[in-house]
Parts: sequence; structure tokens; C-alpha cells
Amino acid sequence: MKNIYLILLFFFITQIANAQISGNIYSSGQIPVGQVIVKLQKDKNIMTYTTSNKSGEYTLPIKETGNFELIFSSLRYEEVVIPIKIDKLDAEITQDITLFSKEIIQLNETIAIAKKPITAKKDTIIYDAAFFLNGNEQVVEDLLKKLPGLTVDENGTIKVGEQEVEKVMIENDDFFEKGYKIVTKNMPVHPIDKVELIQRYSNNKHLKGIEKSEKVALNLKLKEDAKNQWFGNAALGIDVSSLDYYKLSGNLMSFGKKNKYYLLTNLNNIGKDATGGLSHLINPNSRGNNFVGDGFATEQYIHKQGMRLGFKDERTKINNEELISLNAIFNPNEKLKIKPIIFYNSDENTFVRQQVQSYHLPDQEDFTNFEDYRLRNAFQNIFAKVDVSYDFDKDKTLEISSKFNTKDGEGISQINFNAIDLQEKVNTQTKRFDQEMQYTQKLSKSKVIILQGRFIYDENQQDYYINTNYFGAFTPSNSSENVRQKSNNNGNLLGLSFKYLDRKKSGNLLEFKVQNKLENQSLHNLLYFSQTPRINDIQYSENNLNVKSSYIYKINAKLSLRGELSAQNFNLNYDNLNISEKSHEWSINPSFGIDYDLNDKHKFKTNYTWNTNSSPVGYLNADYILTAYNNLNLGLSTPAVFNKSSLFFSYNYGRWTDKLMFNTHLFYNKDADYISSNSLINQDYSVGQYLTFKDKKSFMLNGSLDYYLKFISSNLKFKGGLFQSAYANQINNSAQRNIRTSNYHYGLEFRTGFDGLFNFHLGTKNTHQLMTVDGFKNKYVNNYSFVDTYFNISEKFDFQTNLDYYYFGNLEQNNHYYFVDATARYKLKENKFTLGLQAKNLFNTSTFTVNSLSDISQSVTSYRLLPRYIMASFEFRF
Amino acid sequence: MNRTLSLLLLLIVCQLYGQDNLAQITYIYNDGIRQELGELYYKSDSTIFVLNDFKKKNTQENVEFDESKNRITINQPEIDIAKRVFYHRLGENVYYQSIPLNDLLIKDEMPKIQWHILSDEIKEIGSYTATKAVADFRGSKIECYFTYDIPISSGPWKFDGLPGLILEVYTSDYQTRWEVSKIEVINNDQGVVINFNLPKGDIITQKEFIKQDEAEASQILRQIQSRTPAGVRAQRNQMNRLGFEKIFEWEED
Repeated sequence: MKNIYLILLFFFITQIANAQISGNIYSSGQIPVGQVIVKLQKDKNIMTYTTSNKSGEYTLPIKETGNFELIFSSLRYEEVVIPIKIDKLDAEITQDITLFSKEIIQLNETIAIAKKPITAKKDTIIYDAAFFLNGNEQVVEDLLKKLPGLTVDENGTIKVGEQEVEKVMIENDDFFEKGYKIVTKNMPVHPIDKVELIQRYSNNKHLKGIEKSEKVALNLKLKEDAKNQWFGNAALGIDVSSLDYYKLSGNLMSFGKKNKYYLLTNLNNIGKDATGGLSHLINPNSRGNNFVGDGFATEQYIHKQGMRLGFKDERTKINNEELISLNAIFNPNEKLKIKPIIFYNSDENTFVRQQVQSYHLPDQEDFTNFEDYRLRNAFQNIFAKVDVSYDFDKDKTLEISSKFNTKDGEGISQINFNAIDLQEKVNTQTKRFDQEMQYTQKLSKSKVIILQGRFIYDENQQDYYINTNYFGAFTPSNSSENVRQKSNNNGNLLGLSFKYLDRKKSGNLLEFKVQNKLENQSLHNLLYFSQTPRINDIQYSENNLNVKSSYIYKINAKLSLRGELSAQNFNLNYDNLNISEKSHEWSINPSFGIDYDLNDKHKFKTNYTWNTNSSPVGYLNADYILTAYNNLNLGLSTPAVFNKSSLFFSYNYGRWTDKLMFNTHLFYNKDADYISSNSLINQDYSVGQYLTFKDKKSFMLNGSLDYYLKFISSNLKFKGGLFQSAYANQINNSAQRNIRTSNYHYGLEFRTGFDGLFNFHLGTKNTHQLMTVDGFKNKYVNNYSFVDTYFNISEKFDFQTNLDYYYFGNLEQNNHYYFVDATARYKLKENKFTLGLQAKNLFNTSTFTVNSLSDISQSVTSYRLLPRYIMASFEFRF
Repeated sequence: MNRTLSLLLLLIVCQLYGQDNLAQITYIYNDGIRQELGELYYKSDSTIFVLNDFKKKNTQENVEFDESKNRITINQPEIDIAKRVFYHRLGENVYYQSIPLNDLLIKDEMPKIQWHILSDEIKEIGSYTATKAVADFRGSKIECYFTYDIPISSGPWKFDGLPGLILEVYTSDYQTRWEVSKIEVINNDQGVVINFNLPKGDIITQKEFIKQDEAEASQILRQIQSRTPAGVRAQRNQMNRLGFEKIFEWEED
């Protein structure tokens, strides 16, 4: 109801020829009144309007003739309506008026309630898709671009404000985590009903509010009647110069309310790891990073993978990989979710290495070994997993995950060792079954309990053969010409854990945990130098009980303290043929940390930890085990626990957006006891015998400084680091040799941030390596430099080049290496077709040589590289 | 984000006598990310519009570098800006905006908004009948609902010039909007003192301010780009202006 009184007062009509209505407005005391709205109205329609100025004057143009009403309205005065007749278009009318104050001004307080395309619940914003669609959208990304608050950049990265989303779920299910672009860039938009933006997102829904989270995630809700539809993308690349190299990948998927399917395949021979995109499917983030029994695996003695020294896989890995993976999610009802995944992958790769190793040993003449190593490795792998999760109610969830994995591998090597040809073959079979169970119950808004159970069975069988026996002097006189080793290792683990979390109102967090792990391993190894094998038949069991409590105490917004205390009980049993050892240990492990943010600029963090761990089973063999064609190991044959303490400190100055940014961190580790060896070395072979020593120290210091040069829009970066360690070993029954290593590096980088189409990045880094053994020094200096250029010609077309330069200080020849790569991309049609051209190793460098130092030798190693190729690629969506 | 869009309908009747009455109209701004509260105070010849604090969202800057995917994510902290006040003398096309942080007054001489009233399009907002009007405003197509029932030729932020109070104004894609949430009349007895006078401060034109502000923002983008690690292709996104003002008069050909 509105109470605006209409009172008719004076009116005079005078006509002057000026084609307008004008006049003065006064209040009762002849005071001019400004800001009065003057409207000319005909049949309830506003023809024209104006407001009076400070002097109370107004003017309205005349546009048609007829009978009108002239209305004067203002907040403070009673409204006046004057009938007015306009006869001709050039009429000039003057209409002065005096207004009377309103006795009462009444205004209602009002709030409009309308159906909104955007609704907000606590931490969740819901967008109604239909409101934002206008028909020309094809994929989900096109819709997301239109939602207020979301930005989608040209790479497809989705941000809320400045923060990238954690994942894009479909009906609360997710296959891709941060790889969500595969969905948003390919999924058709029409099944989408609503988009939910979830803030303070936590992977474990019961930890929402307890765990600190600033994460955001999107959830796409599908229409009730949406039909499953298949969609996906594919990319094909082929080497246009020789047709020898290729890559092929494809994704095919279909999402419905109850069933979701995802298929992917990846094949290539350009050194790319085909399973790279699967890690989050095997170990999703939602599992959390601490599950009782993580890290358990049985021993494998011989590893046949080409070791590469600090060099990119994509240059050295000569592979032929194939992968296919099938994934699904089923939601039979709201509480139950079943998520199976299966994949198969295989690879045949080649690794070629030449090594010259010069030995410098105490009390022995120096010698040099030459080795030519050519490995052909093939494997087949099958992995299957089923995750089941069931919500009893909104506060209780049970999750069960079962994994099964079997892998068969064969490695065949041709070795030329000091001019003698050798042939080596190793077959490896691994099987693993892993069952995880987790029950989470939210007790209250801030308290939660988590129960975990785990069972793992792991099996590792290896059959090794080499056609030449290199251990001549070491083996008995009736030794055979070849060497064989058969190992059959298996183990199981049973783990239980109970955890209680309580986030106090003040932000303090209390955590209490009890965990028990029982681990059994059986390692059976037969090593044949002759008819009678050397035998290890190890039965090892370990029970570890751990009671831990920790507390994070926030003194204020700047300072928080972390304290943790755990008590561990180790029960170790070791049997090997006629040896039987038992060990029972207790340990108390404290940990303490301080976080201090002095202000926005200065941040300090420090932590001290005391750790106790049992010795790895792989070091416990009482008889010899072969680990390489010319190396044997002999273990400790007594289980033990080792203590280690570490100290960490970091300091940060400034932020990413500040002109000056500096950060440094420091680690200091001290191993109270550690495993080292007495190595018996001669030119043909070596035998390492493990020993326990005391006091190993290592120290690391790293730092970087960034300075932004505003006048050239570029950043200058200094980096440096130091790593030092001190430990001991023995060679050929020598006295204890004290070894000190010292590596340090420093470098400089310069990168532009120009607005235009061209940018570049330069950098150089020097690495110094120094090794001292009882006062005898060995050292070298290497350099790595690079020049990267970036051209963004248009939104559709960009290309970049990368030049790498390597210099090796103490190689006598071939100590300079240059590599040039170039990549170009052209978007034929946004999100539909993209063309690419990639040139790798343009100088066609065929080998790469590096040097390395150890306490006994200096090595020069050459690796064969992937030759030059120019790959044309085509990506499209279907 | 604390968003309470659905509020209650209240009815308050205020009685006022004399000349010193004030109208206070509260609006809520929403662009999907941010929600702000704006208060319009009206007296006979001038208005002020008080824009309340930005909500502080991320207090900590957070830089994540994912080496496996060659990706870097920077979550910038949202800057905390204190109250901003828009001063307007009715009848003039000039708005002064005060930024207390640096004692600055931004003088914005705006072109008069050429509203086109669509008398047929009417809806109820609260207990008021509101009429639709459309206009082009600095590069945005805007739509609004105003009411003849409240004869104040003003509205939220820099919107004015209709024969009644603007209750709701939004960009035609509904991305950015101001909506009325409360209308009331206050008088001096209530102890509310509103200072309509321009505060002291250095005057800078809107054009100059936008130039400086955007230069600073693109400076930060250049800095972030120049700090990207080796091998990572840095792509800079077009800087988009948020809100209603997309293209200023001086930028038009």
C-alpha cells in the first residue's frame, strides 16, 4: 500500500510560442525546489520527463498534441497533477507551481524475492544452466564461460576468482581430478541441468570443516531424462621425415546419472610415459596420503631399467608403449558407489649405454673398465581395481578398495665388458593384491574418527641367467661357465589403524592415532656358480605398534606450534636356514615445529624430528645374492632398528607479486646408525658386504632470489644450493675410509614478461662436484644453459623454440652439446581441431656423454638418444 | 562467502517532519564472485553512495607448481579495500569517488545515460510497481527496473536519471547486478549523521585513475609471466574489466 496523496492545487496556463513546457517550482515560502520529477503523461503513458534544477526551473520538450497530465512529484512534497492541453507542436507553455510539504513520508522497507538463476547455499552456489544457455554452446566449457564468477582461460583452466578448481565432477563422481579439461572441452552441454560451485572443498566429505581447505570444485548435475551419449577426442601424430615415430591417443566417455564410462588409449614411441595420465586413477587424491601399510613391497634384487643420469626421458627412452584403460562408475542407489578400473599396458624399450669407468683404489693399482651395454626390455602389465563406497548415513561412510596387479617382464642384454661379449637375460614376474578398508564417522561438527584396515599380498619372482661366470677367483674350482639366480620372494602385510581428529574452535587441531602393522616376508634365493647353489631362505616377520598423538596449537594468527610424540614397539624375527635372530625394541619419537609469519613479508618455518625405522629386509641376506652381472652382496643377517634425526628450517621473504622475493631452506640429517659396506673390488667383479656404521651426516641449503625489473618488464633470478655429506665405508678390508662429498651449484635466469607477441627466457647454471676420500680430492665443473623463445602470433597460432647447451668440464673431448627443439600449434577451430608440428633434436645428436664421480671411480657414460624427428599432429573432438 | 540473497519482507513505517529527512536505500551487488552492500543516502540536492568493504577471501598467497604437468597456479590474495564513497550532486553528471586509503578523489564526468523506458514491461518489486528501462552504459547493455512510486531520480552506484528510483539494474547477461534490499527513511532524531560534503583529497580524473590502475594490474601480470619456470609456456589472459564499465567514452572510436 502506498500513501502518496494527490492534491490538486493552483494552475495557470499561459501560452508563449517556444515548443516546450517550462516553469518554476517553489515551495510554500517561494523557495525554489530542485530535484522535482516532472512527467508529461498521456493515457497513463509517460511521454517525457525531466527534473528541476537547483533554481527550481524545468523544461520539457513538446512532441505531440492532445490532452496531457503534467505531474510534479518529489519525495518531500505532495504530488501535483495538472491537466494540460496542447493544440499545436510549436506551442510554448509556461507552468509555474507551488508545492506543499508532505505531512508524513511513508516508505516501506522491501526486499524483492524473485526466482534466481543463481542460488546459494552454505559453501555451494548453484547455477541453473538453462538460464545461461542461448543455443550456440557446444561443450561444457562454453557454458562455464558464461557463468558469473567463473573464468575459463584459453588453455581451458577454470578459475574461481584467481583460484583454479580442484576437479569437475559429474553427479559427484570424478575420473580426472586436475585433468578435468578432458571433460569440459569434450562433453556436450545439453545434458547439463545445473552447475554447482563448491567452496571449501574437502576430498573426504566428513573432513569438511575439520581439515583446512581453500579448495573449490565444480559439480555438474545432469537432467533427469538425460541419455548417455558417447563423446571424446583423439590425437594422432606422425614423424613426417621418416614415418618412424608416432603417437596416438584417444579418450571416449559417456556419463549418465547412474552409470559413467571412460575409455582411454595411448600408444607412442617417442619416449612418453603412456601411463602418466593414470596415476590419479590408481591412487586418487581422495584416498588421502596416509594409509596404514603404504610403502610395503617385497624385495627385487635385479633391476633392469636403463639408469639415466639427470637427463630427460623424452631424449633417451627409446620405447614402444601401448596402453588401454577402461573405467566406470556405477551408482545403483544414492548411498552406494562402485568404481571399477582395469588397464593393460605393454612396452618394448631399448637402452644403449657406453661407459668408461676408471678406478682409483687404496693399496691397489688403478685400472679402467670398458663396458658396452645394450638392453632390450619388454613387459606386460595388467591392473584392476574396484572401489566401493557406502554411506550408512550422512555421517558414516565405509570405503573398500581392492587392487590386483600382475606384471611379466623380460630383459635381454648384450654386454661387451673389457672386450668380452656377454649375454644376460632376466625374467621377472610380480603379482600384488591389495585390500584397503576405511570407515569414517563424523562424531560432531569438528570431531571425526577414521578406522583403517589393510591386507597386502606381494610376490616377486625372478630368474636370472648370464652366459659367463665373472666371479672366477671367488667361486669354487668346480664352478660352471655361466651364472644363474632364481629368487622367489613373497610377503604379506596386515595393518589396522584408528585415528581421532578434533579441530578446536580456536583452530587448534588434536590428532590421536593407534596403529599396528604385522609384516611377513619370505625370501628364497638360489645362486648357482656351480651345481651347488648358495642359498638364502629368509623368513622375516615384523610387528610394529605405534601410538601417536599430535597437537597443533595456534597461539595467534602469526604463530603456531606443532608437537608430536609417538611410542613405537618393534618385534622383529629373522630366520635364515640355521640362523635365528630376534629383536625387541622400544622407541619414543618426538617431533616439534614452529610456524611463524611475522607479517605478510616474512615467514619462518622450522621442524625437528626423531625417527626410528627397522632395517630393510633386502639387507639381511646371510649368503651371497647377485645384484648385477659383476656384483654380489652379502647382508647383515641380524635385524635391527635405526635412528635418525633431522632438522628443517625455511625462511621466505616477499610474495609472488612483490618486486623482491627470496626464499631459502635448510636440512640437516643425522643418521645415528646406518648401513654402509666393505667392498671387495677387482677389475672383473665386486662383492659388497653390508656393515653398520655410526654417524652419517648430511646437510643441504638451497635458496633463490627473484627481482622484478619493472623498466624492462623482466624478472632476474639467482639460484644456488649446497649439498654436503660425510659418511664412511671400507674397500678391500681397508680401515674405515672417511668420505666427504660436496656439491654446489649457482645460476642465473632472465625471463621477459612483454605484452607483445615475443618473449624469451635465458638461463645458465654451474654445478661443482667435489669428493674427498681420506684427503684425496676429485672434482669437476659442469654447465647447463638454455634459451627459450616464445611467439604468440595470434590467438590461433603460437610457436616456441628451446635451445639447450651442456658443457662437461673434465671430458677431454666432445664436451659441448647443443639441442634444439621447436613446437608450433595452430587452432583450426577452437575446441574442435588443432594442428601441431613438433621438431625434436634438430641437430640430430646421436649420443650424449656425462661424467660422474664416486668414492672409488670416475665414470664417463654415453647414452644413445632418440634421433631427430619432425612430428605433425592433429587433434580433434568427436 | 556469506550470501543471503533470500531475505525477509519487512514493513517499517517511518514518520518524518521538516526538511532534514533522509532516504536510505540499501542495495546488494553481485557478480557471482563478490557480493557487496551499497547504501544510497538521499537528501534534497545530493546523494552519497557508500560501498562497503570487500570481503577478504584468500588471505594467503598460494603458488603451486606442478612439475609433472608443467603448470603453475597462483592464487592471489584478494585485496582488502576500505569503504568507498560516491558523491553526487543531483542534476550534475559528475560523480566523485573517495578512496580513503590514499586520500584520493576520483572525478568521473559521465555522459548522461540515455534511458529508454519500456512502459509495457512492468513487475512488482516488493510492494512497488517497477517499470523496465534499458540503456547502453560504457560498453554494457544494461537493463533496470525503477518505480514511479518513489520520486527520487537516483539509483545504486553511478546509475540515475530516471523519473523514479532505480530498484534493480543489471547487465543484459545478468552477470553483474545491483538489487534493492531495503528502503527506509531516517531522521535526525535517530542520531544518524550523514556527511554529504566532499572530503579533502587530491583529485584525479576517472580516465587517469583507470589508466594507472590498469597499468599496475598489467604490471603484476608481466611480473608473474616473467617468473614462470623454465620450459613452461606462459600464456597471459586478456585482462577483462569486471562490472558494468567495459568501454569508456574516451576509448570509443
